Amino acid sequence: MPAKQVLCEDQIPSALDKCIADTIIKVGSGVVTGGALSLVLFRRRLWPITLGIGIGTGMAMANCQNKLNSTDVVRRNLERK
Amino acid sequence: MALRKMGSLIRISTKAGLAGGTVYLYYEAGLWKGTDETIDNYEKLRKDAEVVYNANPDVKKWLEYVSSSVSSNVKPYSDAITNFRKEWLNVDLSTVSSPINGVVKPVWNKGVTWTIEAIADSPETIQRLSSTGWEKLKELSMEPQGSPPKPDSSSKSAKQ
Repeated sequence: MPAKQVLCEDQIPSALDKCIADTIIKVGSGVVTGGALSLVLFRRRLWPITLGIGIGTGMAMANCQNKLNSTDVVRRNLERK
Repeated sequence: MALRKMGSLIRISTKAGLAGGTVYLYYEAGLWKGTDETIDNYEKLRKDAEVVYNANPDVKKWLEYVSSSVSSNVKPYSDAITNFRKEWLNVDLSTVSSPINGVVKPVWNKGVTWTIEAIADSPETIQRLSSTGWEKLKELSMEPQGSPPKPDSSSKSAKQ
C-alpha cells in the first residue's frame, strides 16, 4: 500500500501530532511498567515509576528528533549547513 | 531450612516473572519502536482489547458498573466545576445595552461608581458594623460562663 502523500506545508504539523501521540503512549507505558515493577519487586517505592517516565520521555524525544529531522524543510536546512 | 529457601526462591521468581512479563508484553506489542510503528501497534492493541472486552459480557458488565459508580460520585464536583462561572461569577451585565458599544467600558464604569459610592458610605457602614459587633460582644459577655445550665420551667411542666 503506497504511503499517503503529505503536503509540504503539512509535514511539520503532522510530525508534531505524531510526536505528541508517541510521547503519550511511551510515557504511559513507562508509567505502567514502572508501576508494575514497583508493586511487585520493589516494595511500592516511587523510583521505578519515575524511572519509567524518564525512559519513556527519552525514547519519545529521540523518536521526535528523528521524525522532525526527516521532514523536507528541516533536511534542506541541515544540508545547506 | 531448605524448604524455606525454596519458598523464597519461588516467591522471587514469580515476582520477577510478573514484572518481566509486563516489560516483555510491551516489547512484543511493539510500543517501544519508532513513531509510526508505535502508533500503528497501539491501534492494533486497542482493537484487540476491544475484541476481548466485547467477547466477555461479565467483564463488560463489571467495567460498566465501575464507570457508572465513579461517574455518579464525581458528577457533583464536575457539575460544580463546569457551572463555576454561573455559580460564583454572576456578573450583572444589565448595563450593557448593546454589544456594539463594547462590554468592558460600561462594566468598568459601573465598577468605578460602585467603588466611589462605597468609599462615600464608608463612615456609616463602619459605624453600623461596629455597633452590631459591640451589641454581639455585650450579649456574649452577659451570659454567665462556667455556670451549670439553669433548668427550664417549661421542661418541668412538660414532665408533669
